[in-house]
Amino acid sequence: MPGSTPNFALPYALPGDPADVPFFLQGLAEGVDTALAGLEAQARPRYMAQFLGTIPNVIPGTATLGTFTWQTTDFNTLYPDFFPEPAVGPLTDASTTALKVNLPGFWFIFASVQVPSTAASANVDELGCEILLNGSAAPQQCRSSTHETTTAGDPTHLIDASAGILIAPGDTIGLRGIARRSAGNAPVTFSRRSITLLRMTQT
Amino acid sequence: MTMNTPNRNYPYPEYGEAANGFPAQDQALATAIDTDLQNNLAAPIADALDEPSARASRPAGAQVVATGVNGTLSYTVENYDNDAIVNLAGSATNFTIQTPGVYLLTGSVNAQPDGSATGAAALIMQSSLGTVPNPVGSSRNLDNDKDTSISCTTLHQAVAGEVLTLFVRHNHGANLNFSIAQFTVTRIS
Repeated sequence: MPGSTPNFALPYALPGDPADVPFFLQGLAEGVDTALAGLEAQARPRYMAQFLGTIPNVIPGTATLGTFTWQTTDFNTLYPDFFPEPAVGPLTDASTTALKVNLPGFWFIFASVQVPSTAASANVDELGCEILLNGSAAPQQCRSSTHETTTAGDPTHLIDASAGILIAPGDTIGLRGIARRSAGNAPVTFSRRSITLLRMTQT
Repeated sequence: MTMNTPNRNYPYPEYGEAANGFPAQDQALATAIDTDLQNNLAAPIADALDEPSARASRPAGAQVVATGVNGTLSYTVENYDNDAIVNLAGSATNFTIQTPGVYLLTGSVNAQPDGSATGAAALIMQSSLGTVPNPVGSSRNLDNDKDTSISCTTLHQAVAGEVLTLFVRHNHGANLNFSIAQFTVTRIS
């Protein structure tokens, strides 16, 4: 009866086996073939995705928070022979706010958004963004904001936030804009934005 | 005489070698391939799929930092750690790298308002080998009644035993409360 190796169960002949060289060479060749195919499937680039928001999102004057929408997929890894769904999503329509993560693990999330300077008369004290897990910022994952909202020499602010988050399959990631005012109810328009999700571990 | 392949060093019998060495030669070849695949392909692939990573945070409560001094941020919750990087019982501030490599670092914190908008606050990354890289951080002017939320991100090549921390510094003129701190490290290569 043939023996087998400890890691990949590659078959080999033992002294009591018939000296059937073609049979055992075929068994070893097929075992190596299976082992390498399995390793190749695992060795592909990690799961990752990036989405862009191209439609301006407005936080009305009656609100201080507004969850951003996503319209474009820049990349979204998919290995159907390993797992039938892409890393995230996919996007279903231009109003998508919650990005469903399909695989568990510790994911690195990076997001950035552009927001134009506001007029001093708008009384906007703070412009920012924060990462949402399952639609919530509690507990807070990462928030970043600026109080330099009226800088004439800096007509567009770029605000970014990033964090590592342990995610279960089906959890969603989102990004929320922040516009806090000292007075009044001026709306704030956030423009182009991106969010990148990078799977760092499997569990 | 046993020969070996040039790249993987797999053994095979020289042409003309007696065929009665077959079972042992077959086992030697299978074992050599098995060991090679395990050590040089399977293990590195497994490591790459589960990179050393950690996150710790302070989801509630605040740290008081005096004006003009470095205040190292401390954490109360270990959110994730697969490489013994964080040990809050031993140190509430330190991330100790166990596996050398290039790490993606990101952190954030909120400075709470106290009624005065005087000054600015900065969030800076630091390692036991010196400020990383020279330095990495972010600063924001303060507001009188809104949180000031600061974040920063960088890549850093870390060695085993290197301690990574975040600290804040401000020139507000009075103590400031810093809350909702988080620090993430994850190895990328």
